[in-house]
Amino acid sequence: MATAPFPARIDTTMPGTLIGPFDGRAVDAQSRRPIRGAVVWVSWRFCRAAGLSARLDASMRTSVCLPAGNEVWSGETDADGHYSVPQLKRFPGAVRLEGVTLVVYKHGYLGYRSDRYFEGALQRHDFAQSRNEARLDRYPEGTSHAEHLAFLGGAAALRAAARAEALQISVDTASGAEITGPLEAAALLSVDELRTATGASDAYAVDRLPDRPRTARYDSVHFKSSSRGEEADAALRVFLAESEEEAEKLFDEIIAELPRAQALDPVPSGLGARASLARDGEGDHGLLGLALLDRTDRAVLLVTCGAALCKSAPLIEAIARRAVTRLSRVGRGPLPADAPGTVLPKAAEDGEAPLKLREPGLHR
Amino acid sequence: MPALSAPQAVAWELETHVGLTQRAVQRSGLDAVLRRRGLDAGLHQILGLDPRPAPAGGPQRGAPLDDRGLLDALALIDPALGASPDGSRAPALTWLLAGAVLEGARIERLRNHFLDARRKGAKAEPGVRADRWADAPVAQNALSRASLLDELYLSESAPTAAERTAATARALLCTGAVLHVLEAVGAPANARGDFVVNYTVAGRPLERWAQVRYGLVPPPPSTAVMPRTGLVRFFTAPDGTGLADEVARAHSSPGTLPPRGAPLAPEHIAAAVDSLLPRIAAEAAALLDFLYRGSLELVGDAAPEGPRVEVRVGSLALGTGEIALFVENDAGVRQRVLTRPTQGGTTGHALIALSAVDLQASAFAGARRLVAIYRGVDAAGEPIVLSQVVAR
Repeated sequence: MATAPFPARIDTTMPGTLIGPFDGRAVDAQSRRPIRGAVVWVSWRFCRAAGLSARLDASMRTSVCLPAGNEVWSGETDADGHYSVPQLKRFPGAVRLEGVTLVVYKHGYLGYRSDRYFEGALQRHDFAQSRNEARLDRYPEGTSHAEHLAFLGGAAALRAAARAEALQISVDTASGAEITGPLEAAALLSVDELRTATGASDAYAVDRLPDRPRTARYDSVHFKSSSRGEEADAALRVFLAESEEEAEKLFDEIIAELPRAQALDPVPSGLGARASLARDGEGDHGLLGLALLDRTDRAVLLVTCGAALCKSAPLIEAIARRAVTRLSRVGRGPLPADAPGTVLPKAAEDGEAPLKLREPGLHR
Repeated sequence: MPALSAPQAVAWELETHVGLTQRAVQRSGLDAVLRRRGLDAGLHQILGLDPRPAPAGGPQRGAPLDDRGLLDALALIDPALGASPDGSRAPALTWLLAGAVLEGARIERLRNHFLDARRKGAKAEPGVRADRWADAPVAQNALSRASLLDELYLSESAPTAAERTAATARALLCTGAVLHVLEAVGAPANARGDFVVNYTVAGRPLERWAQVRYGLVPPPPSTAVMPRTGLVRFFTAPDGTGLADEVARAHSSPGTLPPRGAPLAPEHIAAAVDSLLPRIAAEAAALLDFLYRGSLELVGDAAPEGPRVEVRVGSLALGTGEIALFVENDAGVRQRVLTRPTQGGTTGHALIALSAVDLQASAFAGARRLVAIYRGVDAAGEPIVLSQVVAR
């Protein structure tokens, strides 16, 4: 059996024992009031030595210990917040007791783990086998439920208790709310994906379009062909809205500015709720533009593509289709003041530049 | 309760692998992919394996992944990792994490997580080279990409809904296992073939520090990841841009430092872990997106004059392969209608276009859903399985 990394009681340095028993009390970290009905869950883990290499078996057996079973116990705190976990009764065969984890969970609070704090995943040093005080912090607003559930770990009892959080993640993820960090249009499409979608073999430099500044709700990515001119370039602009209505209005404003824009009806699959195809210029020097509205993600995407790269509408649609699948994952967090691309370009200093298909970024 | 006990894995600790895989999933588009495949709750959809006794005369489904065996293996895992099913059921995310844990829980699998990127071609690993292991045939590695593709195929083609659900769970298990192998070669010792000194006398300083410092919650993925068109290239590439290539170039391990076994300085260990984990999580996220790339478009029409079906290439250009069509009846039972070879094509290209002349109308009578499955390679020659379902 491994040495317990926690003391027998918080007021002694005498080590505890992994097999238990464990007892203590769950309290609200701020009010110090007892928490009744919190789930208390304990898992003892066992391992068995193994050798990595046949010729190294003898030495490896001392250092690699692989999972060989577990025992779990679950219960609840009483009206005074007390819990009492019985001693481990059985070992599953000739195995080593490797460790024990005790978790206390109550909806509305950050979970308590005997080995770590949630904040920063730092190691906990104030857990004790007996007379432990598990101080639970109120669940801070804006804390990621996905990270919190990952921190909790656990199986049946904990998963059932934390079901409300799992449901929240499911809803959040579908609406994009769980994604943190600022908007990054470059996350929508890679150079390789552009090549795969269009069949191009050009080398591409990736930058932002210089026509408008990056904001928390707007960003762009420009794929500049190094081997051909702008006729083989492509660009994505993504505009985020706060609501479906706002996104709809934004979409109407954008297509009103695009030359020869024609609504695609029906909208090809995977291209959102509405889509319009526009064209500027003719032949290989022309430029295709595809604007689409994604109501679910409250976003408008504008793809521009040189006619030498997108020889037909299905190719620009393929680019857009790839980007749309990732709209739910672009960040909606605040933009740091020094974020790249936020410096206002000269063209936009006297007011926001009108949106055109043939942007300065596609003229070189 | 500091976890400075004996290591429970080779390469990163199981806790670290679970954390890296969680981070990768959060960064990837897998949730959206699962929703498009009909799992309304995405990563949180409950999926069940089907651990009934194998039929007499052979393993379940004739495949190496047997549900009873998987559940028995998972029963050995510490549930505190958050990767254990409740009986035979668990959310989709848990199945994926379970695969990441299973890959690191058996010594016969751990031997195959090394790739000495400095000596490509030379035998410098205790087992099969990591990239080859992830891409191994099903008979050699039941949790490889090949097995993942088999299960993805079954997840749409199996006759009953329960079989299809179980196949989806197994596909996610295989996905987690493949991610684990890539994450493993992000450890300098594994990327430099150091399976002797690091794992014996040196005590795996980086790996243990990663566990002690971060547990189940490693730092978020970094943003910059090189996009790749093939599975092996995530590990090692001719131009040296694979994860193992870069890790082997930029980091040392105890057994590959002069003198042999010299301890790494604590500040070096912390800095290395802090730079490696975000990069590995980002690579794992990119690999997830790669494994679940592409789409099909299916247009099915039950016109009075007879059925018409067209299957087009979606967002990813495809190479040669085979298209199979299935119909699903009101009881949810699916049945194959036809199979056709295809040469592939670019986005929008019709892989097959069938009219009433080509189709037996009787096969479509009473069909509630139409299912198209492509199995072949993409334009880069990488194996892929794609499917699309339409309700009629």
